[in-house]
Order: sequence, then C-alpha cells, then structure tokens
Amino acid sequence: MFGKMKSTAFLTLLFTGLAVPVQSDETPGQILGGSLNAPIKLEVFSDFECSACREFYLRTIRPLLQEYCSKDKVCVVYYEYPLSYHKYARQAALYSEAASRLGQQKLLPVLDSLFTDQAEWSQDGSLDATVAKALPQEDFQKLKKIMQDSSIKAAIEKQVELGVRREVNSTPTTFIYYIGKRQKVEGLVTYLVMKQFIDSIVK
Amino acid sequence: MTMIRNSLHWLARMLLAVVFIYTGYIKVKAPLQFAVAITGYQLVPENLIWPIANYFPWIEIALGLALIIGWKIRYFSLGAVGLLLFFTVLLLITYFRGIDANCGCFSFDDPISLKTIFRDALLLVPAVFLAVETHLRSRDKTRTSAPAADPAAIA
Repeated sequence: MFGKMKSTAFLTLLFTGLAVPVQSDETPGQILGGSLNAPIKLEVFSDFECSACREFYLRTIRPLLQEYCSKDKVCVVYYEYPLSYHKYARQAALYSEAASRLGQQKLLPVLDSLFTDQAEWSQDGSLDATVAKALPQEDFQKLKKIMQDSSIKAAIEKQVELGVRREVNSTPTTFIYYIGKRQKVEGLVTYLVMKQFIDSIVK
Repeated sequence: MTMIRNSLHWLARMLLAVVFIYTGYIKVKAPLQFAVAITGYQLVPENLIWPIANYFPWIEIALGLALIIGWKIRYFSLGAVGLLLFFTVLLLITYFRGIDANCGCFSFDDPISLKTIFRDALLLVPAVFLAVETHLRSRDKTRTSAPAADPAAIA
C-alpha cells in the first residue's frame, strides 16, 4: 500500500511537479485587466502588425478581460514585442505604451483600435488617424505629448530585452503563471481552449 | 536464434517505451502548447481540443510504462501499432491538405513535412515487429503448455 502511494507520488512529482515554483519577473508590462494577485497571470508578448496577435487579442484576450479579469481570476499583462520586419509595429508600440500612461481606461480603446484597423494602418502607416478615433481629442493630444518622452522608447526596449531573455521567438508568445508553475505558449490559443484551461484551475 | 529474437523484442519494447514516455512527458509539461498544435491540424472540434490536450499525453505515458514493465505486452504492442498508425495517417492527411501545422510529436517546433511523416512511420517497424513477435510467442506458449492427449483415450 505504502509502496503504491510512494510510486504514485513519485509519478505525480515527475510529470507535473518538476516545475520549480515560478514568479514572473521584473519589467512591468501594461496590465490590461485583473490584479497581479489573481491566481492566473498571462504575460503576452505581442506585435501590433502580426495577424495572429490581432486574432489572439480580439478573440481571446478581449473576452478573457470581460469574463475572467473583471472577476479577478486572471490578470493579463501586455508586453510590446515589435518584430523588426514589420514596418510600423514599433511606431504602433509607441502609441500603446504612451496610452498606458493615461491609464487602463484609455489604453484598451487604443489597443482595440490598433488591432481592429491593423489592415489599414499597416499599409500606409496611418497610425495617427487610427489612434485618434479611439480617444477624445484632449486625450489624444496628451498622448502625442507623452510620446515625445524618451522613457516611452526606453520602456519598449526594456520589454523587448525581456522577451529576448525569455527566448521569445515568435508572436504572440504567452507566459502563463498558475499554482507555482509556468507554461510558455507560442501561437494562438483560442478562447474556448483558454477558458477550459482556466476553468480547470479556478472554478 | 532465440537470443536474437529476445534481444530484438527487448530493443523494440524499450525503444517504443522511451519514445512514448518522452512524447507524453513533453505534452504533459505544456498542455496548452499541445492544444495549439492540435488546433493547427484543423481536424478536431474546438470543444474537444483541451480535453484531448489534457488527457491524451497520459495515454502515451501509460502505454510507455506498460511496455517497460511488460504488462499485457500482447495488447499494448497492438496499442502502439494503432497509435502510430493513427499519428501517421493524421500527419499524411494534414500534409496533403497543405496545412502549415506543427507536428507536436517530439517537440513543438517541428513543422509537418515528409521527414516528420517518415520518422513516425519508421517507428511502425519496431511496433509491428513487437506485435507480431508477442503474438507468435503467446501462440507457441499455448501450444507447448497444452495438456498432452490422454493415452487412455487413444487406446
């Protein structure tokens, strides 16, 4: 009996418990919803010009914010990871990072607009028009002013450096922290799969 | 002859066991990444993706463990053939549909190609050998352990 228990415990440890308790680290990205103390934390490294990132944001992250972050079951943190071969991605990241300085309420409409209108601005670089649609005129002027601040660029660089350190090879890449474990997921996780995963952890 | 046969039996068993335990293990460690790989095949209904990603790797591990300890080897070797056939057909279908998916077999950075299909199909060789060999072995055993005819009855 004891032997059986020991072997079960060994197998459980071997296959599920090898992950050392992990805490996500330093560089703060942009918190899109939920608190940092939520039982599940998603850190998303994303590029505004990547079509899979668009899909992931609009079809997975958005419903998650509504369904789980509002109940503080999940925290979503967004990290800028503009890929060098995307012409306007870094510029778009500047708008997003600057919008985060205006607060979460202003950041989300900017992200929504950047991803929704990706097909347009990625053709002609019309980021000003895209972001202006998302904010009241006064806020947009504030945002443009914030964008001049060198700390915005520095913050993006820091997030990119973190991504490089964590071996982010493609976007979207999501790091999921839960019950002392960490999973790195490259690619698009659909909302239903994410929902079933989350429900298996937090009821 | 028997020694060669025994050695091949043992080699095939251990090779398949290590493969199934390893491939199960990497999926158990990253079930969501495995779910992304399954999604890429575009064959499974969305509501089944997570249950498959969550539970299927344990079947591979159980199969590997059964092969190592040699429990019900006749049935589990057939299971290995079935599973490898299933994987090979799945890869072939996805490849010929022109879908750019990740194999998710030995790693999650392994796009489906003729190479991955050949590699999976190659594993069928030890699996089929093991299934046939254990079948023959159990048949021989049944024959040799059959009770001798009753001399009285013959007389």
